[in-house]
Amino acid sequence: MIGEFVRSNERKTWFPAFLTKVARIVVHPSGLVGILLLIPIVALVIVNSGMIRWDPNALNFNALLEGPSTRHVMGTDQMGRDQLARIGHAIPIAVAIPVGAVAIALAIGSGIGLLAGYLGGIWERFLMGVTDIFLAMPVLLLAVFIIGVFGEGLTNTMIAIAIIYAPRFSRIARGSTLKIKYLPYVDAARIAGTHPVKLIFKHIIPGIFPELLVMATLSISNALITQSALSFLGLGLVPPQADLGGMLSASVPFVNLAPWLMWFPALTITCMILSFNLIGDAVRDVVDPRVSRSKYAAT
Amino acid sequence: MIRLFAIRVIETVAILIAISFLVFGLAEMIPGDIAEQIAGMEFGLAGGGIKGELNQFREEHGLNRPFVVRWADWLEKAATGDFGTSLITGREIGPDIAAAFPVSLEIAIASLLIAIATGLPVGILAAVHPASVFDRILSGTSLVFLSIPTFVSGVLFVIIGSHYFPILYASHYVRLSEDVIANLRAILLPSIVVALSMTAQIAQMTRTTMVESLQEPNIVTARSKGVSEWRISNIHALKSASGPIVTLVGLLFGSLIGGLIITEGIFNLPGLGRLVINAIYRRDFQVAVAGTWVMAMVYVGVNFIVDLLYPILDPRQRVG
Repeated sequence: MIGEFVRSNERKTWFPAFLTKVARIVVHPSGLVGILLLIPIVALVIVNSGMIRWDPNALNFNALLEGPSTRHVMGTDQMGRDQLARIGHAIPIAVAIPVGAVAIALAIGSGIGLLAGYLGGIWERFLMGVTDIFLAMPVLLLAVFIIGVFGEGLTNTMIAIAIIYAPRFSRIARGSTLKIKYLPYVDAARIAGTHPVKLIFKHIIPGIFPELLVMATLSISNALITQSALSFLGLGLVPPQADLGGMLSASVPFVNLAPWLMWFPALTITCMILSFNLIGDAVRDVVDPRVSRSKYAAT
Repeated sequence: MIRLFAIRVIETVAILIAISFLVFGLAEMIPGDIAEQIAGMEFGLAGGGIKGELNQFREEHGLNRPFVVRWADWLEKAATGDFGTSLITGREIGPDIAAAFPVSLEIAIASLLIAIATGLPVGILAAVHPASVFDRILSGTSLVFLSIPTFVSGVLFVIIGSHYFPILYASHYVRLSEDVIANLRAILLPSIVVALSMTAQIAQMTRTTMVESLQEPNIVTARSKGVSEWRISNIHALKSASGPIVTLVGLLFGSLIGGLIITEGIFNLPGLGRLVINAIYRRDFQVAVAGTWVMAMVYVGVNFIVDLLYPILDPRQRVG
């Protein structure tokens, strides 16, 4: 027992537990495949920003719907815009919006869930009641409606996705707070007179964080699907802005003339989602190995 | 049991009322009200000269009443299926929704059937042979299926269907009562598109729960009694694994509705999803609110039924 304690302490000193986990995610089979899938995506962005040959919004009416060539590696669209440049510009946004939205959802949602679980009583009922109302709405339907009301654009898309995903975090945060609240070490801290704020930040949040982190990584791919679906419907980013979903819907009328307009955005988006899914799986296996898939299912 | 049922009914109705409040309240946050919107459309600009007319219009349609009163009024009528008349198009909303609903319902049922008919056997097979080649292929492909967004597979299917399989693809919806074959041609591909990710999730969930339930004592008993392996996996183990699978199907109905919103546009189907999206495009929030609420109602209703099914499928859940 004591030996075990000393050993685990020793290991911590020479190699931080956090880095061990990161390393285990990287060598995890699905994590590895996920990261490998990201390489072409990242390379595309780097190449695009490193050798700025084309402006993503520059029109060129001498090169409409040109097929892939050495000049335009991924061809050009109906306005002669270089598709490689457009995809290269769209990728960072396709990462930023889901990650940003999930981060907001994580902060707000788990805050609400934690308070509900910690306070209990009427507060818990009220907060979880509101959560349940949001959870009772199909994801894309609510997103479409929120964007319809508040208008399109980058910030609104991010906020809409955050609103939709926050309740999921509330639910998980409340569940794990309830589990932790009465554990001996939390009780001990409470009896010792720890201030509630300190109790929450020092004892409860570290305890519930792993599950929330898993939820967050698994949500990113879904958030990307929602974001690009919104753009596909014309309710995401405002048009001249290059965006994968929007590019795909714009390619539909030209699919016979210029199939590359459809293939490249479709492949990029699928690759990104697949990669996020794989990395999410690896994070779950490493961070929260005890729980089965079902806890995070269908979210 | 009856008490539990009563509680669930009350909860479900409360959620539906709350959703209507949420949706109605959100629509209220649009800058400017519907009177100004129509004025803006008809006169170009809502100038000072038409202020009196605007107020008269509001008076006529009861728009100057407090929000809660209008919401209560709306809900009272909506409960009887009367969603009023769209001030933008002048069409009655109720009949439009009633006409669109069966289209969406048909695709929903078809895709659910496809997803269960393919996901369930695949999941069972993987669970019976864990860590086999088949199991590995399944976990790989299901992740790929999960990662292809509906709009990507939808566009692909339209192209593939219209180019290579014109027999399986029709670009116009025909009602089931008019022409069965034409109807099936119109809904087959969209249903498969909507079913793709559901299939993957059902297969994954079936595999996980079946692997667990195959280790339960009742399976050992059945096996020692000499029950055939086929019966064990397809009847005994599946029965105790069915709870989580049915719950998942209920939850998947949410993504199914999302799938409908996308595929109905791509495949040109006159369903509820397209109705709501088009209403939002022309900023007709009366229709959007009504359609959204009806779709949310179906989702909540399906999950209510799933909750009732749970104790029927798994007797262990009947306690409490």
